[in-house]
Amino acid sequence: MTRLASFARMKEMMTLHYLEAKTTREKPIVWVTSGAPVEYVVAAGALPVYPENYAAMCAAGHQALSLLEAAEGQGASPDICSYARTDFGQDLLRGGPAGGLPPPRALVCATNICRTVVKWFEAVARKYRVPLFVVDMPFLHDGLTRDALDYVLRQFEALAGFLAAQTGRPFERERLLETVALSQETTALWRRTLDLCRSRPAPITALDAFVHIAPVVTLRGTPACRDYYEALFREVEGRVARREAAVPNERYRALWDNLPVWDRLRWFASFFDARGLAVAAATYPNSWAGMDRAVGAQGDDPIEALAGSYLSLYIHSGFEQRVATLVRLIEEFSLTGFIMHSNRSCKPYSVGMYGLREEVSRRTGVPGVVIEADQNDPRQFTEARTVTALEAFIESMEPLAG
Amino acid sequence: MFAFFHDAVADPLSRLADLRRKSGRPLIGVTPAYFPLEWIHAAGGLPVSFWGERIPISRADALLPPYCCPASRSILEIELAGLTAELSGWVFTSLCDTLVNLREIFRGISPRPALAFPIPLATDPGSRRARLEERIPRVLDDLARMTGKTATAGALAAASRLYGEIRRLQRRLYEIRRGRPRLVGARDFHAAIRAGFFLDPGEYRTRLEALLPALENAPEPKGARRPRVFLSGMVSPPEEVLGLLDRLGLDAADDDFADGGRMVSRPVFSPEDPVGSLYRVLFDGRPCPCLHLPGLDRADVFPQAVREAGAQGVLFLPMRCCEPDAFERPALTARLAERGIPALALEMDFETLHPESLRTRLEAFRDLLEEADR
Repeated sequence: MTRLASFARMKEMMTLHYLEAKTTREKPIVWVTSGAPVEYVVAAGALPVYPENYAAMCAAGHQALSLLEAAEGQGASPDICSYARTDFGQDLLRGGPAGGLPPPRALVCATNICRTVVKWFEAVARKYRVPLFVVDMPFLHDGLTRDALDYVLRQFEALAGFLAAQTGRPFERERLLETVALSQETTALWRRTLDLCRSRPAPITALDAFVHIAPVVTLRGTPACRDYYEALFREVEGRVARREAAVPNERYRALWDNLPVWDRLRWFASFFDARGLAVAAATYPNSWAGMDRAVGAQGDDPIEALAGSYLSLYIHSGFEQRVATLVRLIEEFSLTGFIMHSNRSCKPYSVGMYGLREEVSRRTGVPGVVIEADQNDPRQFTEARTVTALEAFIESMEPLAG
Repeated sequence: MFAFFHDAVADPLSRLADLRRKSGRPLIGVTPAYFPLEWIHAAGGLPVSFWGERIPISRADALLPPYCCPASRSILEIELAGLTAELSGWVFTSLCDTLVNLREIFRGISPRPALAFPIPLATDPGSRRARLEERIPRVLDDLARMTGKTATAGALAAASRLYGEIRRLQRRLYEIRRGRPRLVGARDFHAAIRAGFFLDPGEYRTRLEALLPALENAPEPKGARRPRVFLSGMVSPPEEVLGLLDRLGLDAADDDFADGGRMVSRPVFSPEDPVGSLYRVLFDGRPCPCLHLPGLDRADVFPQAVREAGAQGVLFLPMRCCEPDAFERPALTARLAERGIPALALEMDFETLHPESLRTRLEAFRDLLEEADR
């Protein structure tokens, strides 16, 4: 993993966030999903808490397994998402790096990352007896449409009313617009940072991006988050200027599709470093990049642009759109291959992946590999099988190596 | 009494050509769940519903990972194997993440159009209704392109009457079973329900009309009282499993399968109140774990449905890798336990299932229920 000065600042930000979440008496805690319009929650004066982010932190810190087992011991099926099982486990054991999440006053989830979050948050609502607001975002089989935007905008209005009822304060549109502006600035900075990886050698890798994604997922819409990404951008820009490589002797450049295998991040980094493979691009970190320029953004209305951004997530799009995105990234980042993580816990990302690999390879001429694992369940990762697949993949990239 | 229905579900794929020729209508494949079949009929088509076939999976493995449910894998398998060549198109609802992506796979591999009907999940009821109002004409337009015929108001009304009559007859069948579960074995019962997925609706109605009086007039089966169970899961299990329940003396009094009790408890679409009736088609009736129902927790109402069926226990028959169903099971089991209702869960995998391997656990469950009844 690349040593970045920003890392310490990010760690401090996240620590302070969870400290505030555990101690605040002023702000109602609202649990949200990563694709929910958190700007509304922030503007309402509530404090958003992301169980997905916390689950990833648990796995990255190698603390997920005991939480998964605790949840399964209480009847959670291994068939359900491992983020959800980790969350159920942290709730049972008060586990993980923050000693468990604070209980929610209300829940907001959006279906743009999956429909699983609805079932997950229904279970949380049942346990804590708190209200749940689902923002339904239609899957974009053929790109962004006016009817989808209208449907989501109507729900945004209702969400404002829901949050006002939960906080006991009138919802202020001006504050929402300020929050959205901050989100747009933040995600634009994140996009520009990721785009710096077009440089050869890559100044950071997607594995670094997975780590530095935490604030934009959790704290977008706040000045501190914007400032953090400003600093991160400057730091990575400096590395480009000095031609500092994330991976020594960069020879291959690949894309990572899907969530990472959180508890194996360092293992993958070491494996790739040893073979001169820079994972220079990834689809997942882009989910929170560039909300200032949503596909088909409507006029000057920032709320429409916000709705367009949330609707247009990569995993919420038809396969033709996904192939186009992958092909574009492969070309723009001068990639020699792509790695697809067939992630047992994320069906929206993973179902159809085998066919996508064939199609992207056909259109670009670069090889792709599918590895079977899970974002948060270490029991689904088989090292020997993964090594065999990746070594064959690296060999297949040899004709394209730089 | 049930031979005709068993025959209809025995090998439906081999009969598609015959069905198309006899009906004179283009066949439209329907994936799970809740797409209004009457829309297809009104558009001049004939719906054929697939909930998962017990066939070996080979081709689908190349496109779907093993952690997808057997229903989705088998639907892809029959398409890839060319067993659905008689179909003119497919319809998909946004029932779960797997089916949403499966529709995308179909768009890439199938020469037939694949229509998408998104089921809204918004908490806000106004948004839900507005979304349905906006979608109805679009889906009907898409259907018209598939069948070559527009669903007129008159055709929708006629289809609504026909399917409404079938629904009424199916409900009566459920009532008879609830009252006298020993009279209708689980295997026979679900054959009678499933047959509707592969028959011309007019013929199916006629067959149900003939069956019901015969059942109503049938004498009460003799013998000792047997345990009554409520069956629960996403999709009704293979007939071998249902037959095993019959042989072991477990009487299925009711169920909440999406291709059974959940479907039958829902009304049909009415062109007189398109948005209101479609809302009820999707969200009324027995709650489905795939749908978000603001203000209603399935765990709260499930024990009541079990009690109303007179069941002494619940047999969960979850389909492998069905995530929405798996999410709710702990809460359902806990609520049943609070009320002293025993439950057993047996995972169903159509691909590898050996029904006899379930025998010991089912016998133990039967004994438990008998003991509790003494």
